[in-house]
Amino acid sequence: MEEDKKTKILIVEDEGIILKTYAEKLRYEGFLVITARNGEEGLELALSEKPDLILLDILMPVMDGLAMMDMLRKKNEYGKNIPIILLTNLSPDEEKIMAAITKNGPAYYLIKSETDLSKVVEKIRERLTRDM
Amino acid sequence: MKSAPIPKNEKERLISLHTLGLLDTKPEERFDRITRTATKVFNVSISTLTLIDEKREWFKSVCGLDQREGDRAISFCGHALLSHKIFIISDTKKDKRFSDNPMVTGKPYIRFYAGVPIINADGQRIGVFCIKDTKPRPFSKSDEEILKNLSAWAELEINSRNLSLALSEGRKYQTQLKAQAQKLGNFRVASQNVLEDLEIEKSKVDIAKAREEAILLSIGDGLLATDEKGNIIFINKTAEKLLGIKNKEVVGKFLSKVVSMEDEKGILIPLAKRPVNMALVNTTTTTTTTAGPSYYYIRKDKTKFPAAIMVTPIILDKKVIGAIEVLRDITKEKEIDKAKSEFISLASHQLKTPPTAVKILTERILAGELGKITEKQREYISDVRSSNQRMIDIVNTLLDVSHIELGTFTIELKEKDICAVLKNMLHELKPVSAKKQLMIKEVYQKNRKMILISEPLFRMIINNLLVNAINYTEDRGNIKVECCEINKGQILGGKFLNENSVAVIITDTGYGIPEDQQGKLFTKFFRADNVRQKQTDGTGLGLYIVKSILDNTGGSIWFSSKENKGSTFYVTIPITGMRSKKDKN
Repeated sequence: MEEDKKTKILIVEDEGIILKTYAEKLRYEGFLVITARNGEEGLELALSEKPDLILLDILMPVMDGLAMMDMLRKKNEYGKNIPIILLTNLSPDEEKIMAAITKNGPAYYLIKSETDLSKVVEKIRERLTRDM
Repeated sequence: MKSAPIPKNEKERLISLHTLGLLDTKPEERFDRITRTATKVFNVSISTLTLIDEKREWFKSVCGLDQREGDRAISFCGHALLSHKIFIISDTKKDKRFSDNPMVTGKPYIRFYAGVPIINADGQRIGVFCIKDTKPRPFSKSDEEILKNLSAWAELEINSRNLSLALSEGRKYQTQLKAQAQKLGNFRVASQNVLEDLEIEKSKVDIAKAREEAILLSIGDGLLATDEKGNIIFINKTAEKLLGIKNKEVVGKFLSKVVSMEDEKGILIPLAKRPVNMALVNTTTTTTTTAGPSYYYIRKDKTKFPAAIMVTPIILDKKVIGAIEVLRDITKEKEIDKAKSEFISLASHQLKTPPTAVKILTERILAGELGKITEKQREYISDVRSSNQRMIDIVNTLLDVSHIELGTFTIELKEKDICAVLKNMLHELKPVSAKKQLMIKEVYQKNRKMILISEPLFRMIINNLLVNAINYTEDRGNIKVECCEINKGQILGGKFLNENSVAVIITDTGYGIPEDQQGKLFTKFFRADNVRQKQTDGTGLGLYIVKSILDNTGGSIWFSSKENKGSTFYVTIPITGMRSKKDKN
């Protein structure tokens, strides 16, 4: 029962150590964390588990983060409104990221190498309170 | 004594005499034999053929006297000149006109004189033929007859002299004519030779022309030429192939109507904006180069290709008579460019992932979330974290450099209040500047305009300059940040502005740049010796990036600096805003 009250966050990230560290930190901060290693897995998990927020890497094998976001947004009402924080190490002025973010749905992006874990947590909390 | 009279028609008479061309010529046998004959026939001491000049009597021929001329006024011949047919003084001493004449009283003691006027062919009296003697003597009618004949002989000789002169003159002309004719003949032969040579040269030129045409036709780049109206006059094989058109079909037609052009986004380029038309209109420059990857040619079959195009107006006698377009299919280059920028994205991602992991791992340890750590462990982990941060910074900087060098930065321009951005940046840097207890002064112009900039690029420029100012100034030093508008024609920091601009001026009281190294400041990887010793980190890329960005966006940067006194950096951006590189062309 207690688990249901917790905010559920899906982390989609192909890099093992990074995924582990994000997951452990968010659990430490009191979130319920589920993880996926690529966009395809992520999309499936998002639709079945309906997390409250998705932390989404962009460059991943099988299906990248932008493609996953695109499909999710088109899928249904849930997918259209779920807050997504994109985490990437691509250059911030990469045209396609900006296009994807401004296109539709609540999304935000952070540059991984420039962002501390505490900042990620802060952003997650900010997004969750704003969208509630 | 009576002076020799001057006749009424003296002027005409003198012209006649002078035209004869006999005065002051050498003695001639044809005349000397007459005067000689006269002295013998009459048994007198002197005989002369005298020409009466304006002031003198001049002897064309003289027998019995040494001189060749005398004074006209005292001359006997001057009188004889005007006599009817003959002038005779039988005894000069008995004639009042001559009795006291110096030539009677003195040398040559003339006592007798007889002279006959010489009439020129035109009827003018030009001189006298005379005999003189030192004894008086009677002069009979037959003597007169003889003297007249002798004088007629002299007249005849004068005329025949002219005739023979004319003849010899004629002969001279004849010789000259012959020579000319000879020359003409030679010339005709020469002309024929030249004509033959010309024929040979012409055939050589024809061969050369054919060769040149073949060269132009076969150039690996597409080449086409138009007349001043934009009608195609020449197109080579490569251009035919590239554009999918045939020489025969298009020559004489308007280029812009034969093939159409698109930009990067697939929008048709209007006729007036096509490179050839722009080159034809822009007659003020001798060469206009329009190069850019943003042109796509569309073939008849609707396929298209990106083209690098260079158009040069053809100028003859300062007039544009057409344009030459060189075009090249740059599909491959485009692909390579794309691959390059994709590689950079990927490499950046791959390079940044490991330090990202280190960053978040160490963060958790230092936050104490994994349990207590010793002070020494904390110190070491902190060092790992800061070294890791430097690694990330270096990768980011190198990436920026690659982006700039490849021109893969997407420049999105927005209207911004530059001063607000500066304030915000100084605020963000506060922790660093406060730590060094630096005094930071901000001077911003009021009523400032919004400027069209790419904020990320502007931030990159200013951040590099501010971080340098902070890093390379001793603790408790001063930094001043100014922002103002400067008009075209004004001088800022020793530089003349050729455009209305907005300037950011950053002054510090730091280490400064050694004078001998100032020229290299904007070079890639350059770090001045004095700061290299003081600060071991730093990539030597910051100012290179700043300069590259400004060069590519229409701005500029320069500085003044004194070692151990400080530096001032001046950055200007056109008041009309940053320009993306593509717009420049």
